[in-house]
Amino acid sequence: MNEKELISCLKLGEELAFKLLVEKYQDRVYNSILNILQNADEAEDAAQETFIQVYESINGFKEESSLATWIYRIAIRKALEKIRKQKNRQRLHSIVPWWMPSEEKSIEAAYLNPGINNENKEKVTLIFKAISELPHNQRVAFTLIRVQGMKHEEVSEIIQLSIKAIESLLSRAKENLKNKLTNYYNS
Amino acid sequence: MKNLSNEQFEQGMNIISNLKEVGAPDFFYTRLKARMDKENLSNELASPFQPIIVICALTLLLFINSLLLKSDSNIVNTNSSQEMEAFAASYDQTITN
Repeated sequence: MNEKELISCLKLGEELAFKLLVEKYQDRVYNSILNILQNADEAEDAAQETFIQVYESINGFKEESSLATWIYRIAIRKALEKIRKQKNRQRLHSIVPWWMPSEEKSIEAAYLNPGINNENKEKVTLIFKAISELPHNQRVAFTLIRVQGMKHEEVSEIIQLSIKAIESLLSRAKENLKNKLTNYYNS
Repeated sequence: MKNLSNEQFEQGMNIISNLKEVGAPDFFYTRLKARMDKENLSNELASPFQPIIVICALTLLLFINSLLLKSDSNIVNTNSSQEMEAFAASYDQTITN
């Protein structure tokens, strides 16, 4: 089934088409979100929300971009929503800590990855910690390009910013990361 | 404070660029479908309890209640004067207005 057929079947509400779509994109969507959120449970939740939104709003998809770009755009939005909610919870927790359950910010993405040897685990954890402290746009641009290996053009379509803006975000992210990592290494 | 050299920085970046892709957890679709079914069900269950319907039902209930109270108050008035007279008579008293 090609993309056009898949989209028209999805618009007709065919469950099999939806299953095919999920199976085709679930790994990349989950992985992109996991790299941004660095928390497996939150990443699965955001990935599920992404596909629910795809299912609910497929009729509004005008095919101005590819289906994949549209799905990643939704996925990134969901990941950013999670970060915002996390920050709000943390803010609330700092105000009223006695009745809010404490929330441990886990940086487990590095540990989930079977490709990292023990020697690099600590370094990767530090890098992901530093990435998680970047401003949202820098965090997303940096993660998609440097961790996911996406092209600038793809990221520009997903975040809906010009390539120049993406390059600027990337260079600021690099500068910030360098400063943060210098602090970590020296502390 | 010793600054991180470009080389050190790029070394670190190379490690994270070469991470293996972590796939979605097992049974992702099954769990997603279960969540969608649950949300559909809860939407269906929630629809009779939409605020506008609840407000209309409560207003209707209040209206019927006030009608019943009004019609009851007439009966109570007549009943209560008869009861008062019977009560007074049992003590050989009379009621004067």
